Amino acid sequence: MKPKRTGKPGWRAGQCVLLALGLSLTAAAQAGNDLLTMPALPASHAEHSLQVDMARAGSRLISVGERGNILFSDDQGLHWQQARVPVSVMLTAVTFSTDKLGWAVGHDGVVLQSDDAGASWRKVLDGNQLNQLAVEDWQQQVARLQTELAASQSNQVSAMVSTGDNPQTEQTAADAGNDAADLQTALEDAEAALDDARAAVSDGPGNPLLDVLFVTPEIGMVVGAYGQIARTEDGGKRWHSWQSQMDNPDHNHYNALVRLDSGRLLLAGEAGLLMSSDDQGSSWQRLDSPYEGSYFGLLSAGADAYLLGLRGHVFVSEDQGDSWQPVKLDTELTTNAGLFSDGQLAIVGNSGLLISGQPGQPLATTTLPGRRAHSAIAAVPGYWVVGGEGGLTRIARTQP
Amino acid sequence: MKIFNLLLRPVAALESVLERVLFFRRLGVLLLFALATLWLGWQAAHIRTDASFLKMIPSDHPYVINYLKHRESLSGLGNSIRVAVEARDGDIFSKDYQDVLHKISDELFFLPGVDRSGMKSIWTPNVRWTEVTEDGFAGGPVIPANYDGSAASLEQVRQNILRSGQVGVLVANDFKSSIIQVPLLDINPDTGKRLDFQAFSAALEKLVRDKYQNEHVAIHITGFAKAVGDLIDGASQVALFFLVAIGITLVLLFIYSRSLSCTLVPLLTSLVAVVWQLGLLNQLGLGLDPYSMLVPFLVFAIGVSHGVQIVNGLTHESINGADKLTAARRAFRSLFIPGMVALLSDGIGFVTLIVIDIQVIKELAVAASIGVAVIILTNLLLLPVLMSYTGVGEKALQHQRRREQYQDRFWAPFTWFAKPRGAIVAVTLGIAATAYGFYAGQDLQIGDLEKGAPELRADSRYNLDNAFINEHYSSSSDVFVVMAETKPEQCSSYANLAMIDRFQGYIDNVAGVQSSVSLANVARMTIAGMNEGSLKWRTLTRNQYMINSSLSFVPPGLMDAECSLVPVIIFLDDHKADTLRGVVDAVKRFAADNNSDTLRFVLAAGNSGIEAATNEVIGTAQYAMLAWVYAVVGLLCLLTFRSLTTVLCILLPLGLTSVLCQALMAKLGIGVKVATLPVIALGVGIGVDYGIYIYSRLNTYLVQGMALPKAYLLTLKSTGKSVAFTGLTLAIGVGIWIWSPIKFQADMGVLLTFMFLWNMLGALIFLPALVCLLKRPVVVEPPVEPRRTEEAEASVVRVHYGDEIKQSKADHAGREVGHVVK
Repeated sequence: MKPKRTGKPGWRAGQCVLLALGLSLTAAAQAGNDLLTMPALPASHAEHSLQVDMARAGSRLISVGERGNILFSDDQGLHWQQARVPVSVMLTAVTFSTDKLGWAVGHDGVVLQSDDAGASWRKVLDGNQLNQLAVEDWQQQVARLQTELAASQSNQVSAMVSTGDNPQTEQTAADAGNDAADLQTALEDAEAALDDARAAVSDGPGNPLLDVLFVTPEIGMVVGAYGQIARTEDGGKRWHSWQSQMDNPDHNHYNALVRLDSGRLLLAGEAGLLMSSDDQGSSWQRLDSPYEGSYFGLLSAGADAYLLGLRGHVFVSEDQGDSWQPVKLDTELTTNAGLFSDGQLAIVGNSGLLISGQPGQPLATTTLPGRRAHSAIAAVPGYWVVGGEGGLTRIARTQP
Repeated sequence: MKIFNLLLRPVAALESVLERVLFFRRLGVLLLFALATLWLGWQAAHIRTDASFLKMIPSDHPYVINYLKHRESLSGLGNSIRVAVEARDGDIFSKDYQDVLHKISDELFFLPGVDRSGMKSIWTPNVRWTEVTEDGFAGGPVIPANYDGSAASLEQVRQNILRSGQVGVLVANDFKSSIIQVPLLDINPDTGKRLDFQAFSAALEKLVRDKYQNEHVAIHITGFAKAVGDLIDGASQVALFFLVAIGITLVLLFIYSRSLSCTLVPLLTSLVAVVWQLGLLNQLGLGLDPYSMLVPFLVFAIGVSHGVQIVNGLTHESINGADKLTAARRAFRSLFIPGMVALLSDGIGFVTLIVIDIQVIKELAVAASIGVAVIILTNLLLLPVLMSYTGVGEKALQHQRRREQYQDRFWAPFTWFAKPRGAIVAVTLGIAATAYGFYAGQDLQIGDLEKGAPELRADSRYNLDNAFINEHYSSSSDVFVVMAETKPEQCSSYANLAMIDRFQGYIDNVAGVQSSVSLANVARMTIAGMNEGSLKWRTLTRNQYMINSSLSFVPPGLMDAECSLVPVIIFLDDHKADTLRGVVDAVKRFAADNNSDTLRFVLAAGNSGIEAATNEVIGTAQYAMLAWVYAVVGLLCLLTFRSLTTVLCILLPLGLTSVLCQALMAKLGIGVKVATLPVIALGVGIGVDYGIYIYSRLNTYLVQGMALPKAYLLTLKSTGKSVAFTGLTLAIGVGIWIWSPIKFQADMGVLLTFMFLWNMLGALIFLPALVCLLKRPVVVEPPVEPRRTEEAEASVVRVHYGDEIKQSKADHAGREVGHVVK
């Protein structure tokens, strides 16, 4: 692929600004060589490269990882084949809404779709579009708030004008004034967010998506760094940024999404961020977080839900996330991902950490040979398949 | 014919002038030689041993040019040593072990030439553990500040090591050893000169291994400086071999001549030749590297061979009753021209090595040519003058007379090959051997085939140390570096790092590649670290600010000072030629598809990258060199004999040797490499003499009208005997190298010994058979016409016909005269 020269002027501008730093910021697509448009290279040893998430499509296992590598196995993780993928960025999460229909997300805001059980993928969204969606979202939010504010101010004025000395109406006026002040704050926040969103458009598609969940084949959402969230209700034909709907003023990362058996959705992320939704992700409420550090994983284990965090901080909830109890563990290693299968629970983490056992009973921690970090796990008969630094490995399950 | 006259006339003229000068000014000549020997001996005493890395690589190859362009920037990469300290009993978590490790760490810290700031071990403060906490990073040195050797603090050390990510890097995977990594400076600050690897290596032995290795602790040291140190040490042992070679030759010479003077004088003059060769080498500013160390052995052996011929001639003259001086003069007269031509042919054979674009081989060619040139002076001029004083000795003459009796019985069986049936058998066998040689030679590999430092033996201490580290740590010693060139200050831009990372993803999947490391890995790891260690962030981000802050600390060697170069360090399974070729081809494909104005992937550095370049040069040079050697030698034969069939009779046995030599290399697992490539040229260059002299002597008898078997018997009794002796002397001279501690010297020894011996057999067996089949019954060469004296004089062969005929009339013993065989 030869470099295109079209991106040059922007690149020069970037260079002028940043030569002072010793390093120049280059506009993302300065040359034709951009990972968003370059298909993943065939990699005969891809199963030994960094793999970060796994999912099932019927009997097939699908794993995603660095450099656009997507692998699938039809023999319970013994042998892996490489899928055709149109991008080369790191993919961070994968899910299947049916046995055939799959979704994968990754860095640079990439959203991929497969309708052949993961053998081939096409790009449906990337960070450029997500940034654009966020701008539209915040523009609408700003407009809505402006309208509301105008309405509320006119209410306030009319209330003040219409009243003489009626204490009742005075109270109403005061309320209206308070509402107006809140709206004013919300508008300022939304305008700041709009500015950020516009800045993100010119910065390029750099922010990663970190998880994806489809509640039905039609309704799904992708979440990621800096409070990115987008939702679809028509199987991915149209996407909407959901940022303005979220109570996440600091733009913390969303790291994990899970659907509990009850149908409730949980969303966890940076700095103790924890939310729930009872309407398929349309609206979200903050939950009381048991911890100030970051969560990396969520898992649904029958009636229980587990929250996986930094430095061995694992919490369990028996009431759909309303309250959480710490799980006593003999580790200070970060936990990344977990799985509940056949009554057994398994959690993987950094430095070869493997936690296993049965819900409600004390969990055992072991160290996997090689002490590698893992962030993906799947269950096959008799084995866990884990993915991480050294690629994909089958680990014999210890019988309970 | 005219050309040949032009060539030989000056030599003939020179001969008569020299004879007068030499034998009428004997004392003056001796004085001159003595003075020259003193001066050159003084020079030789100052010769440097020299193992310059740059000289062993093809400096004009594009890969090497690229490497040299970036050499300064890459220096942080390569030149370090690793000292693995092994706990023989138990593991590293003991107070005693940690005490020793600490002491060795200190010892190394104070060695001159060590880049102290870059030194790494679990005891140095730059090796830290880090951990992501709710508040950000936590971390500290691996050895805690309050370390006191107690069980509790050792447990703390264990925890810190696990958190430091140094398992497999500085701490063995089995926790039974740990490494002190010691980067070296180019310039020794104590002396202001380039770091002397030999001295550094010796200091390591003395201050570390000798001092700390005991029944509890083992020391393993690897690194380029150590390998070079061991190489020079090993090469120096070769001096001992030289003494052995002298001793064996002495015994053989005495058995052959039964005369003290006939033994000591050729030995002495050959040693003088060696001294002169070394002295001249030093005078030319050349050192003695592990390759050109072969040359003194060759010079000595060639010198002895020529000496033997002159002594033979002298003996013959003395048997005929000449006095010492006359015998010496006659011997000189009859042998100067053929000896000169033989040596010239050797020299020309050596000179063809210059076509190979590798400095050590060129210097080997120069050294060998000088050596051959000085033999002309010492053994063709000095030796007869010395012998004119000493004479042969009566007892030796008696012995020679007696020996005539049983010569026929010994040589008669060989004449079978000069008869049609035997000839057919021999040639059939030769064809079969050639076919086998081609078949077996298909497995011949280019390059080095064994693990570890290929210069040293697989069971050398260095390679055992290397194997230890390879086995217990996650690293390979076969390093191939691809250089990613960018515009200045652009090396860490997202776009460039992203392509470099993509390249690594590509190359990691090429057969033979274990893993790769570059600046991109540092950025990826740190970016993940800045995001709480999450694997999902272990990639490059378009956010240049994040990349920049991730590269606030870059380990040395991963980028250059002006940020325009990113080396991609690729670790390979091995350094076999196929592996290297596969990697090179893969890199070229990627570069062709992806190189742009802003980013170029360029071959190659690292020991394996350089070796890939060397292999490419050798792969093409080996055929060029063979073509040159055979063309030159063929032309020489054609000039001498003026008959294509004769050229075939002489060259075909040589060709068989070359083919079998390749088969032998394939069988022994010796690759074609810098060390073995010259062997073929040396073997052919020296081997052709056997053929030339056997044939020329044979022809003199054939021209007289003798039947081939009879003529051949007479040839064997004279020249054949010398050929056998010469083959043996040469083979012993180089054969001793088989015991060299240096792998490639041993390889050279094996192959040269094989070639010298097999060329001898080829000349004794296949040559008469080919003559029998190709030339019989027609005698191609016209009989000598005594009238045409000018032409007769001008031709080596014919000069000797003349001599031969006269001498045959006078005395049957004359058959030994007049033919130098080397």
